[in-house]
Amino acid sequence: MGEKVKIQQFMLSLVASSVLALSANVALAQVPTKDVSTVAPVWRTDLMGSFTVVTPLIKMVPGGQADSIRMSGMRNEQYFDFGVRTDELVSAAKIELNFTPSPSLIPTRSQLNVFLNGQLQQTIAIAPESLGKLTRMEVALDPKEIKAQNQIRFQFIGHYQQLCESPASETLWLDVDSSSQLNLLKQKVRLTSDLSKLPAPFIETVSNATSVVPFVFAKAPDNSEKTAAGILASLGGRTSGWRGVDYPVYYNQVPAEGHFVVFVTNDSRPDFLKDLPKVEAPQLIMMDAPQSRYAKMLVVAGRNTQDLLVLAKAMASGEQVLIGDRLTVKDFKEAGARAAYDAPNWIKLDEAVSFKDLMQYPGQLTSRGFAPAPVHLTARLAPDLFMVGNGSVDMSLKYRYTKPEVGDTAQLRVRINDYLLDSFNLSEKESRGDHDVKLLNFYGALATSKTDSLTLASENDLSFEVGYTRTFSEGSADNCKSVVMLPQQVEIDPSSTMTLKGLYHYAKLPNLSLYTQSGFPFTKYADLSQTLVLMDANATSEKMTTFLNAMGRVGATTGVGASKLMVTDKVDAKEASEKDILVIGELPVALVDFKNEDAEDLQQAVGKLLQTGTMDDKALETQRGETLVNPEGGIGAIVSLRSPFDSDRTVVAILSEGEAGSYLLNEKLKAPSSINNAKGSVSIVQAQRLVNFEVGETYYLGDMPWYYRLWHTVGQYPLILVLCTLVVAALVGAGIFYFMRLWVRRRG
Amino acid sequence: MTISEAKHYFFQKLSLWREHGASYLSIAINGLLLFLAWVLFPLEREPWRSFCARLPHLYPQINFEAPCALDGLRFLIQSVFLSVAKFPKTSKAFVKRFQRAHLRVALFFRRISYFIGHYGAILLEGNQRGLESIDKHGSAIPRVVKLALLWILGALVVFLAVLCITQPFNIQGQVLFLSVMLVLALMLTQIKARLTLMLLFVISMVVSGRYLWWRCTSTVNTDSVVGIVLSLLLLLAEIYAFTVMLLGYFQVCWVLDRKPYPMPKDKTLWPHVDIFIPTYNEPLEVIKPTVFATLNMQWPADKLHIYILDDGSRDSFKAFADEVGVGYIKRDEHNHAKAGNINHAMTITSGDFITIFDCDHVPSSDFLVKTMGWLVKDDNIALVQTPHHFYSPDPFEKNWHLDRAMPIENALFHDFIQKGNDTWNATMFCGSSAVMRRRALEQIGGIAVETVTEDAHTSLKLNRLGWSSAFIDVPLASGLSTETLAAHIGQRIRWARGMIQIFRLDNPFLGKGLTLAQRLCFFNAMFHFLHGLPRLIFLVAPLPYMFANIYVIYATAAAIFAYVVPHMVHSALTNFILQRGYRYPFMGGVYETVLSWYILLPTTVALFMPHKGKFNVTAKGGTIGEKYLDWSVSKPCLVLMALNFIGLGIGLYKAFFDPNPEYLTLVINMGWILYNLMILGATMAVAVEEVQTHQFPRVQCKIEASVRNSAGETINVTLTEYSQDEVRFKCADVCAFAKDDTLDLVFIYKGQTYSFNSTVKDVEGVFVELAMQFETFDQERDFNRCTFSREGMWASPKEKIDDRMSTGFFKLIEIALYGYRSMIEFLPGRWQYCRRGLLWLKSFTPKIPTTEVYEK
Repeated sequence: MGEKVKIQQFMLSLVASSVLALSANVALAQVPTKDVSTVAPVWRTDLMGSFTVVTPLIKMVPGGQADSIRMSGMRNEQYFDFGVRTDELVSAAKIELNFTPSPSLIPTRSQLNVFLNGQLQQTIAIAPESLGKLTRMEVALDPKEIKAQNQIRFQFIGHYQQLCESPASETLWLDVDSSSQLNLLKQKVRLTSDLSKLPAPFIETVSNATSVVPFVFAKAPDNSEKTAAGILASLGGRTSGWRGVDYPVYYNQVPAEGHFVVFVTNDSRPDFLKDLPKVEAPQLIMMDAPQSRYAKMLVVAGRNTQDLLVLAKAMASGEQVLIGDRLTVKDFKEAGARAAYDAPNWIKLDEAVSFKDLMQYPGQLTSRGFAPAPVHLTARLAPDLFMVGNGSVDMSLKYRYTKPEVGDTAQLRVRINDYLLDSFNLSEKESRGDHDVKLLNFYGALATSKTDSLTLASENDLSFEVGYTRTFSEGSADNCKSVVMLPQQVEIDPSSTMTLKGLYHYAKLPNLSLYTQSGFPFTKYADLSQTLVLMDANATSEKMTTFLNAMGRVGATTGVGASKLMVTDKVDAKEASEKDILVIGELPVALVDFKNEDAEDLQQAVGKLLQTGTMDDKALETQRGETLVNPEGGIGAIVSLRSPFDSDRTVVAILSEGEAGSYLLNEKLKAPSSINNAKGSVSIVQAQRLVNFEVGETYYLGDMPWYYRLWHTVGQYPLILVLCTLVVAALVGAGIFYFMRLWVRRRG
Repeated sequence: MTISEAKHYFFQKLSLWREHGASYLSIAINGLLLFLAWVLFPLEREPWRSFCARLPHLYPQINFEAPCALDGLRFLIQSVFLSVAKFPKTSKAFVKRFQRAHLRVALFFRRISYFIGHYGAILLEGNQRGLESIDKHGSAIPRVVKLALLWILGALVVFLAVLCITQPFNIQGQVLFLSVMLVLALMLTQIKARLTLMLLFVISMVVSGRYLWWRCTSTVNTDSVVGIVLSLLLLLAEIYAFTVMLLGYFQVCWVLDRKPYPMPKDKTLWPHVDIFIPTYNEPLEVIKPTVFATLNMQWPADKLHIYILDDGSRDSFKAFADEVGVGYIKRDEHNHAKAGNINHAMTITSGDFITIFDCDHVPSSDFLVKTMGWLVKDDNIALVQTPHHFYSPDPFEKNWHLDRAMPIENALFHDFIQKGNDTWNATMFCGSSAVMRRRALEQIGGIAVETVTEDAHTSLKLNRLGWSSAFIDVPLASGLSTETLAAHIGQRIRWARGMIQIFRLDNPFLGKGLTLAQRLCFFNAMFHFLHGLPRLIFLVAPLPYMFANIYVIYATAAAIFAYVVPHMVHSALTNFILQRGYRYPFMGGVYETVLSWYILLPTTVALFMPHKGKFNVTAKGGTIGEKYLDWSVSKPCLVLMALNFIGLGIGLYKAFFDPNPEYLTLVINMGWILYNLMILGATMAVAVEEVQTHQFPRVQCKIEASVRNSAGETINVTLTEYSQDEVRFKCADVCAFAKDDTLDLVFIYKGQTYSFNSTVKDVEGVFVELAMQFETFDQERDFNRCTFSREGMWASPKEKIDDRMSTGFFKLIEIALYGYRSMIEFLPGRWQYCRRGLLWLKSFTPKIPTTEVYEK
């Protein structure tokens, strides 16, 4: 009886939490999942074997990229952030703290306090023997305080003399050594099968780590199944955002570890799911994975592969109510296609965009402290934008700030991509202000404009930094003054706006950097309604991974799922005529060398391959019959060219040679730093290097008016204009001459 | 040396100083110093002795024969300077080497330019011959084809021109584009062919068009209201300048060089001509040469009717007229000034043609023969105008001491633009030295009386009724310039006001009868006088940045360089080639600056209230006893100068003390200010009125004559100058004349011998000045025939002058420096102390020794 009540209560709470989560829009990745610690006791019995995770403190400094941690009288607080996954539980936590206090400190009066989520964990009195020496200690943290997102705060209380201290004194310091680290003893938690928790536990949203979500198929998937997988992959990418997702693919095999997604139909299912009952409709089921006590699997089930596609589209629509362990899709109606360039992540042109819409998390526009850190805001633009001469970026900035003390000054600096746009002094009379900031215009494409000048790019970092000057009047022994430091605070008003004008969509293609950075041209239609993915019917699992990862990146770029995706294994000229084509497959030619001719061969081969229609086998063999550049590590290539079916469309082909090549390419594409250098029309990827080629036909796509195109074209060749001027001079001059000759003859 | 010798030496020295005017104080101090020097150094021995001998060279600022009280200090300063400063001995060799290198480079460029010029001309001349065949074949092509071709080419040209003007570039592109264009333009300037000029026009228009497009689209400062206003003002001024430039190109793109048309052989066909000499308040002496010259005119006497139109109703004039046998007309009502005077005379006289000479304009005797030809030949011509020349120097020439070293201020209009006007059948009547058809004049109701520039308005009216006009570029009459700057300004104020009055009352763009070209030509003449405000704007444009950090051109300094410099260079280059021989480089700005402030108000008033304003008579024929600076007339210039100097000071302050100066912007603005200061300095130099001693201005000439002394010997001489009553000649070798000798001056002119009595006034080497002694008016008239009205007297060949751009620039600097020097020299009243103080302070500064004796 008691047991039954317990279950009822549990079910109730489950429903309640699901509704809560839904009301906060399931689709949003930022929805804070219910933290583990409070509910942990329920599953305490299901804890799996424990493991220790060690993170250096320096990696946890907010904003990243810190290279030292030094505290002083002015910077007496230091924060460290860390997150804990929903499916993990921390049972013990400690900081291995190595620090050096200044030798001038007065022992015991000087202290270092360690807080976890606001709770004091330990106070360390600086001992006399540790002054000026590297001191090692361990600070135990209370695991009960640990939530999904946590903050450790160090507070340094330094004293160097009995009286008349200046907080700005240079002798007041404490250096936290970079060898300091946080040790977390974690356990895996067995979760309930609750769809309302999606995307947890599959996609990582609390830490900066890349999520790994294996996709399992019974066998090589058919087109619909591939499409379904692609759509789900893009949803995962959208949720994960900049953290990235990796989708390893397995055929009829349980992944060694982790939560995974598996695709089943009534006819074809992996061996480990043989016993799953047949479904009557598209169904999404969350259940425990076999061979693991804590891993979950998301079963995407349907009567046939069409059902899977329906299910994926339904998930992408975001309209499904996710409660309990299974979702059955009935009467799903597909929405219309999205308009071009309407990706939610991209800023709209020619209208005032308020900062509120650019904010990624609450509190992003606030900064406080003795030296407030810069406020950062990311502004993403369509990658194919082109700024014309009279283009401009006008910012109407409103801000509030703590007034500088009388006699002190404060200055607000506005930067874009680290280049200073403007700076202005903050009045000490008011604590609010507004200012119009203008970005000097330039002429050129955002994607290819040089970075050594003040420019916009497709992804822009706006930063606002306030600096306060502070004058201290240090007291003397007889006339002692104590200074109380007030922390400063700056708020950029979310109603500030930014207006982009004079930008046109106009890009020179093929340009692989547009693809690798923003998934262009496919992301032009955020739901990929104008994209055709061409893959071999029997694609290997590595090729599938390539495809799914590509979709994940698309989702992360646009901010919506690729619900109108289409995958095919045969190109139909009619079907392909109004589509951008993404090809994933084998290298059609054997590369002989890293030379322009080879790149050109490769590009032409892709064109021919598309026209033959299938991806079955190598359409062309090497023409010269020379030995291949096929090193041990495999080889891959990304090729872009004008579509042979439609001159306004582009083909991007992600090609690799065999399994090793696929693996290599997938690894490379996962790490943005290694692939960011891809540009031009052909990029050949090898373990150690990436070689770009500018070969083949180039063409321009976009909606820029013809006169801007003309100006742009001629703008690159001043000598053409010289020629034009000479032609004008010759024609007009000769005309005047001839006319005047006749005229004067008549007069004289 | 013994004591007595020393004593002797001292007394000698001191008495020498006293003799040369040194003060007692100075003698006391310097004596003491000398004594001390003697005590310390054995000055009587070598090497001190030779050192003492070299002292005057080493210390050029000290007069050792009459030292001043503080010369000891000067000696000290100069000694320090001599011991510290180095005088490189190799400097001369270096300079020589530099000069040689420069010469080599110049030679190289000259060769290139010769090559381009030679072959370019061949190319374009070949084109001339080709044109004939185009003419021939062209007439065979059907009209439709020609029209179609014209439209296609026209569209292409418009498209390309718009592209060339609007094409945006980054700075590198702009620099590359414009440097290539500049090189091409420079090459073109070497080719002496008419087509070159057309090409240069188009290139200049494209470059300046690009500049203006850039200015309009991307450099207007919208930071603040003040910024907007100031930058728009500058932009408007620039658009004004651009429009004037375009109109100018249009007006003179092919000037008509009309030659005099011969008169028919049969003199009975020659028409009756009335000559009007209007006068109002000029002394009789001024009008005498004019009357005599008209009497000497080569025209049948019975068909020549000369009238003095005396608005001053003076009896002496009537007596003179009666005596020399010319008509005298006066009127009771003195309305409409000169125009009314002439209109009144027209009611009394009846000649077919009317010739008007201002009372100081002296025609040569061939005036009518040269001008009437066209009027007789072509019944439709109502006006034949000849250029105004002046035998007395204008204020610029006189006060800048130019001595005909550059074309005079008037030359651009009278000798050049009028030719262009003639091309478009829009020759402007200039009030004098012109012949008009009575029938035409009567048709328009006589000389126009609505405005204070009756002349221009009259020609506009004639053109409106379809009459033609012609301009003959042969100087056939010469007059007196305005003497002083003030008079010059007064005259120009009238012109400016009058032209704007016409613009308002009889706008060339409105009304019937004119061709578009005529409208543009007349409009340009009026539009030109609106230069007041734009010029003032240019003169203060760099100041907002200096005073208040307001950018009047909102662009980076580099962009300004890349756009402004080519625009200025191209327009300057094209105008230079165009106006060469008629306007000296850089002088246009000065001429405008002189007037800008003064014509600003009258033109503005006339724009809104065109009926205001009275005719003022330009005073002529006076003398200036003593050199002076006309401070009152240069007040506006002084204000501008002060502003610019303050701006310069702020600029220097910024450059050295500003924590983060914008150097390039400062360079641009300070360069601009310096240029302004140069223009203003030159303007000040005009206000320094030079002495004008001769009662009657003298005419430079080169006339062969002879003199007969009382002994009856005849000596051939060359006349170099003459005036109404004086003559200056140059003897061939010996000059055996003394003051007050009586001589007969003998001319042989057109086969007749004329002899005049005179006395020697002055002898300077081979030059002799004679004072003429006329007994009768006939003698005076004969003298006039041999001199003023001598055939071709005024049509002297043009002398070649060095008018390269660089020379012009240095000339401008020279004049400006003269202006500033004069300002200090003529500081009024108490300010003179400042000048003396400055000079006194300057005497302490060290100076470079006069010869190379400093080597020790």
